[in-house]
Amino acid sequence: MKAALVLSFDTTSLQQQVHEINLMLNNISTGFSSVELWLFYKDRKPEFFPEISCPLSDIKLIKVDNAHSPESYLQLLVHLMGQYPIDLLMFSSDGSGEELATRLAYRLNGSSCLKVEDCSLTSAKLEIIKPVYGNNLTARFVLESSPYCLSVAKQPCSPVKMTQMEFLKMETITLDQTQPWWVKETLTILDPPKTGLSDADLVLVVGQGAKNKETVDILKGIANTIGAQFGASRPVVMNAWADMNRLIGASGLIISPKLCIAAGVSGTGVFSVGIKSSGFIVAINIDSKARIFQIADVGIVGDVQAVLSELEKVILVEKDKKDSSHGFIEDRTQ
Amino acid sequence: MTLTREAIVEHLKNIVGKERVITDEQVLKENSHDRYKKFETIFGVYTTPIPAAVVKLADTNQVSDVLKFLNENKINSVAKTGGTATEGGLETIVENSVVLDGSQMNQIIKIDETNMLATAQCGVNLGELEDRLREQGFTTGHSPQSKPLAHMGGLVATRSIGQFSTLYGAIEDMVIGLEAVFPNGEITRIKNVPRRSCGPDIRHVIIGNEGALCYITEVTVKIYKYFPENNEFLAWALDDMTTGFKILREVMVEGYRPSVARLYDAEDGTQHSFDQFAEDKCVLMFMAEGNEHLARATAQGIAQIVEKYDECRKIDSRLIENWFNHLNWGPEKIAEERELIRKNLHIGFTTEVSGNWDCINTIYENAIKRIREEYPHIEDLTMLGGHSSHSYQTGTNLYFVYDYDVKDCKPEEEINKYHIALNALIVEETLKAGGSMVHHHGIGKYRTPWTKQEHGSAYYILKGLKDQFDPNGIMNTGTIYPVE
Amino acid sequence: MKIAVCFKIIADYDRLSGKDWEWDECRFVDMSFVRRVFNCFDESALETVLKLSRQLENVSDTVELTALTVDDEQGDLFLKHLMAVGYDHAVRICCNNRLDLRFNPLVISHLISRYIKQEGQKLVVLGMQGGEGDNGQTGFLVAEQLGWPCIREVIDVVRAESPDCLKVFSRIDGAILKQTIKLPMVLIMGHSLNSPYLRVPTLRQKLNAKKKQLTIVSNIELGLDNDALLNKDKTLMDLYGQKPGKSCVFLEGKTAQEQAQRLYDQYLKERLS
Repeated sequence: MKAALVLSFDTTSLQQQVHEINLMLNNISTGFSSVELWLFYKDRKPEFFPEISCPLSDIKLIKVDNAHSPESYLQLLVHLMGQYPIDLLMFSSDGSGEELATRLAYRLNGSSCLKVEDCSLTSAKLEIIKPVYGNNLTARFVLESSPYCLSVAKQPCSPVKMTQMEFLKMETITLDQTQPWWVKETLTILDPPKTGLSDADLVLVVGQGAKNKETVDILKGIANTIGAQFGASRPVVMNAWADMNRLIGASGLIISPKLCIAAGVSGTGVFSVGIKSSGFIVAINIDSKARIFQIADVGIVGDVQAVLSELEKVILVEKDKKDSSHGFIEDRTQ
Repeated sequence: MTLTREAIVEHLKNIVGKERVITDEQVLKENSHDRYKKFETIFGVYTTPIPAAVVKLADTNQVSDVLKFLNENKINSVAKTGGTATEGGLETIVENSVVLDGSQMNQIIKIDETNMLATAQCGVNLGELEDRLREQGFTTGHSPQSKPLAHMGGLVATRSIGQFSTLYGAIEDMVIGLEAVFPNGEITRIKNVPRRSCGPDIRHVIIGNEGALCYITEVTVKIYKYFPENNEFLAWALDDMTTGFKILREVMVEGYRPSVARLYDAEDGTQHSFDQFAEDKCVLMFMAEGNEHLARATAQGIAQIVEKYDECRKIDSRLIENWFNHLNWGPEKIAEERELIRKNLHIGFTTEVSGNWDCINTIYENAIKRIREEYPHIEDLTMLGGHSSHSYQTGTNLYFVYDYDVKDCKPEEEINKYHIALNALIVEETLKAGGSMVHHHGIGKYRTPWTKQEHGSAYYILKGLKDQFDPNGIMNTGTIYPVE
Repeated sequence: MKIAVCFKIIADYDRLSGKDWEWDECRFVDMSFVRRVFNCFDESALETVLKLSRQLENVSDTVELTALTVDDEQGDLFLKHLMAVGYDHAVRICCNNRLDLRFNPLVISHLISRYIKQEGQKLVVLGMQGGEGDNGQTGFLVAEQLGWPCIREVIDVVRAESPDCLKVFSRIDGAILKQTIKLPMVLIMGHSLNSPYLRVPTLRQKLNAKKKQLTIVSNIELGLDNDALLNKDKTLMDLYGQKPGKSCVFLEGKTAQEQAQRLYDQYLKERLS
């Protein structure tokens, strides 16, 4: 079975996307006769490449004229598939990967599936595992028709390194692309700089149990003083109590800090998937029956603001102690 | 001579220590109102005078000392624990009021398994007490929607009622003994005995006083054995409320005591998604609970009664059970409601009344009819319905529920344009038919225009209590008793 | 302009407890005892289009809104609700109940696009993902079948100067993309902060909606027989529940202060250093 990994060089999360694909490759790459990297780029031809966990047979660098137009990518992919047929294409976990996987499979009469957590070859059939029912269950499917187009599931942040790949066969592909005539005007408004939330060691995630924007603001302050990054559940973001780039869960960020404090979140399936691989989870909720306690290591039944304000005090006192003890040692050395 | 705001704060700090006297602007604003003015406060408008301070009380002696000071200086007090009041009882309508916050008096003092008693300070959260009891196989039997937030003191002060009242009774049936402090600082304890014939039952001077007579510091309630494994839900769809009331009466009169007995009209049912299984129908539901034999017999007996009525179609009881398990209001629900109000300018209110069996249907029909015909902003209503959720041998309650889009008015005008006007029509129709204008929220500060009419000649007794215990009128002015 | 919004009704998963996640021999999870709700992204799509139609009507364009779902009779109540809040047509595509359409976005998109072709809508809006299948593919496939451009992760859409265009805001890698797009198009709604919830109809609107007729169309009427509805794309082999939960240690403490101190001393101290 021939496989290709389809990625865009210019995306901000390329290294993370490759990490996610690598996880998938670990279980299946032995079944492949060859693995190619199909890498789209816009202006500058890539010189460094993300570290992929299995040997590559080939890298195809594909120039795309209009980076915002899925149609351009699709045309290129259809063309490439005509020239170099591939049995399995793996796409990134982002919206672009999902769109391309779905639409390409449709155009080529193949099978596609998104948010794939695992895949394997069982007697020449491709089996995949993906979440269903709002991340409350997972399902195993056999995909029936090749080419198989998969987009992989999001995983906690662990970006791979970029390296040079000098000894590899590399091919540059430039093709004429029709312009998307239906787009009359385009403007991009850049997001604020990345928060550091996705790879933080300590994260405070707040849910609707925080009650209102004022309390959420106080909790943001507490996160700041205790040195935690701040995350939020979907209702909190939809209420505009926190920015969209703070969203944790299936449709936001998947995080795995060493320590995650989940405060006032009820713990729905779509939320829990966002934090469940954290090293240690502390849950605080007024409702002792809240589902969040099922994935927590330690639970406190109580008012979120009250407990966190006290925790802030404790941490500040401890910090003071440490600082003053350092001061003491310094005094003696003088 | 009246004390200045600053002097009040200084004195309070001397009495309880400065860390217990809160004067933070935002905290004071939050403490100037309750859920009655939820609309304007969500939009950051506070029309009620801001209290001088919130005092976080530590113990009964502090309550006594603070009250004595306020009484001597004629400073108005507002008693508060969990803060889930809905009728303006916690509004600080008098300038420089002092909010007496008992939420830190939160110790469960004793669970007495032999005598089946639980004693708790006023600031103990009911949910917490209930969880503790359930771990030991007991229950208070008290389960209002506010359970996750409400505290024992406030529940007793407002004559609260829970969802299982038809079996366990309301709070006044549960309270065995109390400790309360009167404005002159007098600390009174009513002892815990099963029953006595020693003069009038003085517990009832304290239960339901809404902070207008005294401050409740400690409560002892009876407890029950808890058998959730025997719970059995039963539900039917039916065409109209008249039949529903008839069945409720029959169930009660036959002597059955389900813990839950509820009847929803079609319109009210919609907001609970009952239309998904009983479109355009009323829904009647029961829960049988308690020890195995009683629960089973109760369920069987009720089913036998209902099945005589051809109009009733059985509903999958799991639907009702699932709904019922998600009925309580925790902080998340309140947050969700706030956001819906803020985003959609859409809000809901309720008015709960009661009546004997012979007039309850009249109250229901007349109130709805009058709103439909007379209320000038009916076009803004998105829902108008009601349900009965607490039944007695002699009658039942009615919970009118109405939602509306707030249109063409400022945040602070909303309550007058909508809730106050709708509430008035319901109260008038209820009193006209011979019912009671308040079933379980307390009178608060907005149904006081009808307090005298509610009590009639017996208002003499009610008035006597105020004159006797709060001659200086410092106890939650404007609550229960109209401002003269 | 004719606009269609496709939506899905799902069980409110938040009301299922761990033990409720069980399935029968056909791997169907029984949720008949749980209330049903609009899928959240579809709810945003429905409200966004209502707001858009107000804008379009202000410039005297006639707007005809259709709400479309593939469901059994249980969908009717939601369709009536949508008629009450302002949808002109409420359409339910019904299929043989025994067919498993949960993991078959291809067939769902066939049904939708056939209806759209028949009725001549110029804009189709759908939510980006919805249970039970969580496929996240229906919108893309509708676009493919109609041969229309498609914008994913849309957060808002408003009127453009030119009547045959719309201004579409969508989320892309590291930015928000604002594009003026010529109709027809398929929009796939993501997280919409402007319109997270559907509006509530008034009593009068509800009453009026009761008089209106729903449109029920079968797959056969759309030219797809039952055989065409089978999932030839993938086969469901098995379902798995959540792994058993951790055994959470609850920290006792009479006050928040005690709880916080205990949390710090026993668990956080070592981890925060």
